[in-house]
Formats: sequence, structure tokens, C-alpha cells
Amino acid sequence: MENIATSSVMLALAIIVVSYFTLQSVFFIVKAWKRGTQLGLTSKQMWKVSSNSIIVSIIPAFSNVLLLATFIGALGSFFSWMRVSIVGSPVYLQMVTNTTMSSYGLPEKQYELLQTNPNAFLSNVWVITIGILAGLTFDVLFLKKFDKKLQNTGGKNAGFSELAIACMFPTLMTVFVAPEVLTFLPGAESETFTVGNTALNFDNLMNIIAMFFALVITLGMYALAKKTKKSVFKDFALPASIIFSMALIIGINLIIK
Amino acid sequence: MESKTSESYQKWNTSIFRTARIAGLICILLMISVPIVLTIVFGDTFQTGENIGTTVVNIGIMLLVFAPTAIVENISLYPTLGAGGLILATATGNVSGMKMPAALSAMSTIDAKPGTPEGEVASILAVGFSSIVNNIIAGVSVIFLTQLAPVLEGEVLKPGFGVVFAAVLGAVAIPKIIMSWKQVWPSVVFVSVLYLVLEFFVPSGAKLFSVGKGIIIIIALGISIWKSYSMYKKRPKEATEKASAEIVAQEDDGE
Repeated sequence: MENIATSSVMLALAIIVVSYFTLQSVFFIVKAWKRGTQLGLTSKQMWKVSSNSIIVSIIPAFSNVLLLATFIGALGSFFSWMRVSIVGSPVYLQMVTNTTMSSYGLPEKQYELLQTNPNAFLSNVWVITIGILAGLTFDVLFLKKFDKKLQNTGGKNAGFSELAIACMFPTLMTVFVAPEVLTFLPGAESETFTVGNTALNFDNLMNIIAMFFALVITLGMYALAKKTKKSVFKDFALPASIIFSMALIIGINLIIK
Repeated sequence: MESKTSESYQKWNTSIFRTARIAGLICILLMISVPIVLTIVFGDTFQTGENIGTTVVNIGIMLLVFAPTAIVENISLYPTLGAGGLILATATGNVSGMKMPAALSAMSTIDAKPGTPEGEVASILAVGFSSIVNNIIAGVSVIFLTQLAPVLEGEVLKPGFGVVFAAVLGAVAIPKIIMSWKQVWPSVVFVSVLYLVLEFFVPSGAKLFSVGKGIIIIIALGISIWKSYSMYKKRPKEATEKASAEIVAQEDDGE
């Protein structure tokens, strides 16, 4: 039987889906551009926004390529390419694939075997697709209602609703940052690095160094922008902090290992 | 700056919601069409009770684990990204590691605040361009993966790519947490204590934290909102009245 993952049908589906998602982005960009003009934003300002977004996205996109390489064995290049271009984090893809393989009695982590079992592969495609649709479905069905509620909380309690809205993103980020910072502690899982008699998680130690170095670079770039009155430092604070942090970690690894 | 109660804003809001919802619906249908087509073409032996049962159970497990996180994440991000940016970001994925930082960085280049009309424009442009960059790099990488993979996965570069998400958190998330410290510190304490308890006293506690992230976010949000409410209540009466009066005046200007 033909391998589903490498079939021309899979390739055609991947091309259709990725093309649609790309064109959809173009459509939204055009709509936002027109709206920006209506609001009095200049073309220069909007190009500044656009070029900044392009530069900020390049390195995370290459991180996605690593994800692509990881999943090609299980999902094939066409489906992996499609999934990397749309919703679905690495953790999610891995969790679904491991669950499917275990359900079909396939040996753990021998991902290439998934492609040899068409039923397991199809089941995996179904689960990957449906299991992640909750966020988007919520947006389509309920976001408008949520927006109305937000708009209606003005008036007497406007001060409170502003405070409540402002705390949402930082709170969400807290849940992401805390594990990154705390996992390196002695006794945590995957102890791989020893300082004196204390075992630390080496990978997470690198994460923490990168995190705080990025923070320092960002604050430094903002201070520089303020001092020199040149907004270019502020505009490229994020890409610079990512690049410098990566460089630092690569340097540390070269020295230690 | 355009008021949110003005006619032009309301017109834009209705339009962007309609467009984003239609686009989101097409995305859902298109994504579901992939397994449907594959099952029609290759699923001769797939359509048995056993296969369908296994698939439905696994879908249920994934929805149970990931749906709460996805929904709460979207509710938390909506005030910052706006409808167009959020739906575009949710459909294309990598929201926390790529789309959200790109949007915040884009807003700062034109000094636009999240949630303002200008911020919404910057958000859509940023998410849109970010998705296109991702799709181009992913597409080129599929073609050249044999050449690219050894370089990216090599001993020199791999540790660098391993810390990209942490660097993004450091550059984007930590400053936001610091700026809202008065409101979010109880959540920071709650999440940290919970993580440490799970990590050190519960077998596979870190995985449990990861799986239960949706519920943890809901509780943390509840704590931050409660703290915000207590801050709001403790504000001097004059300040509260002044703030309300300013908002009413802004609304009047808009009309």
C-alpha cells in the first residue's frame, strides 16, 4: 500500500492548506494597512512595523525548522511542513504522536514505524487536527460575545476593568516563566550539571541565563534609545536580545563542552 | 486617537470581527478536510469500530488537556492582540513564542499601546508578516532540510536555538510582569509555590504542571483579578472619580 505521508494527495493537501494560510495573512495585512491609513498612520510607520515583525520572526521560525526535522520521521515531510505552518506546538505534536503510537502498540520513540501503519498514521492525523481546534473554535463562536462584555464593563467600574484587562497577559506569562526559572533548582528533574556537591539542570540553567541576558539587553536597548533619542535601538530590542542571548549560550557551550 | 465608542471604530470592529470569524471558520474546515480526504482515499481498513474508537478517545484526551489552556490563553491575549490579530495568531500557531512578541515589538515601534486602534493595526500587521516569514522559512527548509538540518542541529548552533523561547520570555514577558508587579505578585507566588511543590513532592510533578496548565492559568487569573479589584477598591475616592470622569469625557468626545 502507498505510504500516506509521502503520497501526492498529502503533498497536494499540504500545499492547499499552507497557501490558504499564507494568502489569508496577506489579506489581513492589506486590511490592516488600509485601516492604519484611515487612522493617520504613515506608510513609513507601517513599514517600520512590518520590517520589525519580519526581523523578529526569523529566528523563532528557524527554531520551527528544528521541530520540522524532529517530526519528519513520524509524520513525513509534507504533513510536518503543514503542521509547522499552522497551529500546534512541538509539545502537542509529540504528545499526540506518542499517545497514538502507544494506542496502536508501536514501540516507544521509534517514530518511523508510524508511517508503516496506515491506520495509526490516519488516527494520528485525525487527533492532531481535532485536538487543537478548541482555541480557534472558541474565537469563532464566542470572541464577539467576550468583546461585548469587555466593552460593557465601562462606566462606574471602568477603572477596575482596565486594571483587570492589564493584568491578564502578565499573569499568563507568569505560568510560562515560573517553570523555566525554577526547574534548575537542586533536586529538580533531569539533573545534569554539578556545581560543587549540588546537581543542577544544565539545559535549564542555560535557559535562565538566556532569559535574564535577554532582559538586560532589552532594558539596555531601551535606555540607549532614550539617551540617544534614536528609536532604532528600541525597534530592534527584541531581535537583538534573542541574537545576543543565543550567541552567549553558544559561547558558553563551546567553552564548557 | 480614535475613541472606541466612535462610529468609525464600531464600523471597523464589526468588519474585522466578521472577517476574522469567517477566516477562522474556513481555517477550521480546511484543517478538518485533511484527515477527511486522507480517510476517503486511504482509509479502506481504517473505518472499523476499533480504529474510530481509539481515535475518538485520543481526541477526547487531547481536548481535555489542551482545550482549557487554549481558551484561557485566548481570553488573556485578546485585550492585547485584538480580534484580527488573535484569530490570525490562533490559526497559525506559535502564539507565545513568535506572534505575541512580534506584535508587542511592532506596537512599541510606533508607540502604540495594546488595545488601542493603532495597537490593533500593528498587531495584525505583525502577526500577518510573522506567519508569512514562518511559512516561507518552513517551505524552503522542507526542500533543503537535508542540507540545513545538520547545520541547525550541529553541536555549535543547537544550544543557541534551544534557548530562543527563554530569550523571548526574558525580553517580552519579564518586563511585563515587572511593570504589573503590584497586581500579579500573588499569582507569581501561587504559581511558583505550586510548581515547587509538584516538582519536589509529587512524582512526575513537572509533567502534571504542564498538563494542568489551563486550570493553573484560570486560578492565577482569578488571583490577579482579585488583587486588581482590591487595588481598585483601595484607591482614594477622588482618584476613582477622576478616572471615571476622564473615561466618561473620552466617551463623550468619541460621540
